[in-house]
Amino acid sequence: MDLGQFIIQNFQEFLTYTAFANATVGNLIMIAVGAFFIWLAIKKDFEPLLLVPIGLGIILGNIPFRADAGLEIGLYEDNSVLNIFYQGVRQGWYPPLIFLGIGAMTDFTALLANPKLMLIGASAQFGIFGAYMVALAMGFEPSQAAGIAIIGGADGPTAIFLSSKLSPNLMGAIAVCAYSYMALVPVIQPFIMRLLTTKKERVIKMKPGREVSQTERILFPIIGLLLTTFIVPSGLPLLGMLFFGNLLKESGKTTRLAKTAGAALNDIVVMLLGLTVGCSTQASEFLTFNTIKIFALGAMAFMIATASGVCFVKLMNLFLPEGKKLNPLIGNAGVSAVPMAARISNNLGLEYDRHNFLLMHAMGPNVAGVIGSAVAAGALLGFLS
Amino acid sequence: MKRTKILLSGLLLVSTSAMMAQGAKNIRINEVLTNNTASIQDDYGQNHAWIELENTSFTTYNVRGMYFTTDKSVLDPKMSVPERIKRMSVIPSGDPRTQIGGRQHLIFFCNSNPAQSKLHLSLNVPMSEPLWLGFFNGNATELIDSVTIPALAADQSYARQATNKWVVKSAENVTPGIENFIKTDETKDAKLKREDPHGFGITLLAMGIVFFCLAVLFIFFWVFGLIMRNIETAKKVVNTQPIKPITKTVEVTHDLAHATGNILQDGLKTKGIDKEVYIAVISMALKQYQDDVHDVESGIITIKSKDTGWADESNQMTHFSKPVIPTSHNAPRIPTTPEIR
Repeated sequence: MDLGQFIIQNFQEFLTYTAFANATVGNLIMIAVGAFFIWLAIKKDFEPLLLVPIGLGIILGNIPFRADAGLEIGLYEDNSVLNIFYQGVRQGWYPPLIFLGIGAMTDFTALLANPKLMLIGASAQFGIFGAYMVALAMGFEPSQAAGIAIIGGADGPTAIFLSSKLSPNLMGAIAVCAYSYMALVPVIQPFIMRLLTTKKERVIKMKPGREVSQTERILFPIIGLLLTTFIVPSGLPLLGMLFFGNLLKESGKTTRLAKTAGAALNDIVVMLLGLTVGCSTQASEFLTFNTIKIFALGAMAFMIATASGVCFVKLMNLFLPEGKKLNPLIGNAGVSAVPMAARISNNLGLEYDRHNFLLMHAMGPNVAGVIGSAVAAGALLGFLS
Repeated sequence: MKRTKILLSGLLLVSTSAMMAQGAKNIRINEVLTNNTASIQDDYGQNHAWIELENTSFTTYNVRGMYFTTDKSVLDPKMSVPERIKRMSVIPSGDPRTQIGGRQHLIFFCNSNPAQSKLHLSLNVPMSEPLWLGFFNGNATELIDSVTIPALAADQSYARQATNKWVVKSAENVTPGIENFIKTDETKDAKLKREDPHGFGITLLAMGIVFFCLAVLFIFFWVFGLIMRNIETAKKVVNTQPIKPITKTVEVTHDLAHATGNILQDGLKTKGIDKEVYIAVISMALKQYQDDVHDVESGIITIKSKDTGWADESNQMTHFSKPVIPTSHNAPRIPTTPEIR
């Protein structure tokens, strides 16, 4: 073989390795979706910390290559770098680490100042179970239905944790759906909140919460951990890490650890989680009719969760004396999208009364929603695994 | 302090040994075949009596150094450890196969020569006689599991059921290396689909659990909050003291000036106000500097070394009242006193 032939032959073979030779329409669609996510994050400021890694992950996961070449580069190929990162999602150890960070960043003072707000966090979990029933009616298996329904908890890590255990085949779609809807909370929720409340209700002013002592703040993660995990031990990885992170924050003696858990560690895990979740949406796995159904169910779960939170506050108001009534606009914050949902309560409250600041009141149900969704995931795991 | 350390070390030791014992307790005798004529063969094609161990946990456990025995006299608590060991057959170390994964099984051949393989034991297992088999922890004292095996016909095994009862299994049903009884129940999914096709049951149960959890938390912290509020109120009443007349700022500044000399000297000319502000700013800057490292950001007071190409003292001094003199970035940087921006 002369040099010319050698070069031509190898160049032709090289061409078969390129993405141009292996691209499918599906890949191109998904790359466009990834680019759209990045645009939403940067241009529209929709949860950039989540959507930038996910968006780039989608692009990365859809770069076509010759699967039979044994390059060990794809997410689903054993021992590839991406596959190693993906183990955190598959084995479910990223979500508890994120919960550690959430615990270290979350201030439960608003909840402790007015503990009855915890019940709003519970009521918003109706979204999960409403979607569960509809998913069953749509023909999903119970374990798949539970994995999809957890999107209604508005909690990405919980959705990944539960779907990795119950419905690993749908995890990519569920994770992208959960994070997308979390980013779209400002679009989905206000409409439902306006629909279900009167103008008079929207201007209800709530009294500021009482001062919470450090003893209470330290005891909360310990008692909370014991009470919740004794009832739902299957929620241990999430609840354990959430309360551990919070104890680091509140103990007053482990500030350095709390800072690391809430900042550096959390950022690292968010980057790896977002990227690998995005990568898992390879066109061949992602572009199916099931994905469309999951997105529809996810949207419905979010709407039910928001509506049930608002309606539950209205129900509570029937039993509360005048002067202690709650503003129903904090009901949407029962979903665990922290602090986006609480911010929406505040913004909507200010829209109707520029002196009515609801942020701290809404943070109560918002953090209760985090606990509620982790408990709901634990309960579903216990019933279905 | 020393006593606390000793106590903590003791507690740690006790809890560690308890955890290790807990791991060993998950290993149990699962199936035994004493008269092997046509069951599994070892690597040399020989038929030996065999014992199957099962790790009932989900954690890997290494059984090296643990003992088998068929001599019931070791149950005598007064027997010394060396005497016990003489009557036992040890599982040798040095073979990775002695590490049993979660829910996995491991087979040991008996009546054999340990030199053949680490899984071959010299343990004496009579062929067709009833026998007692004991499995001991590495200390040769703690009995982990035991079973009394009836006389078995050729290739029959004695196996543990899920209910922990033992049964004789015929030759064709012997299951070395796997579970003794394969479950053929319907899956949980199928069962749920049949019993709760619309999901109402699961919804009611799971929502009930979520509400119960958060309601328990609510009640606990509501009651606890009331108690804490009462305690706080009581403390406030006890600590309330008549208000003392406040010393004027200027008087305090005078006192401080005596103590600190130059620092407040200029401040006294302006009744101490300027210097107090500076002191507050410096304190705040130091606090922010110690709490977190910041770049030049709006709303953050930053301590930054002053860049200067000159080593003369006047440039190294910090002049609070004068604007910062711009200097060349290319010039060598000399660490100087902090500058507040």
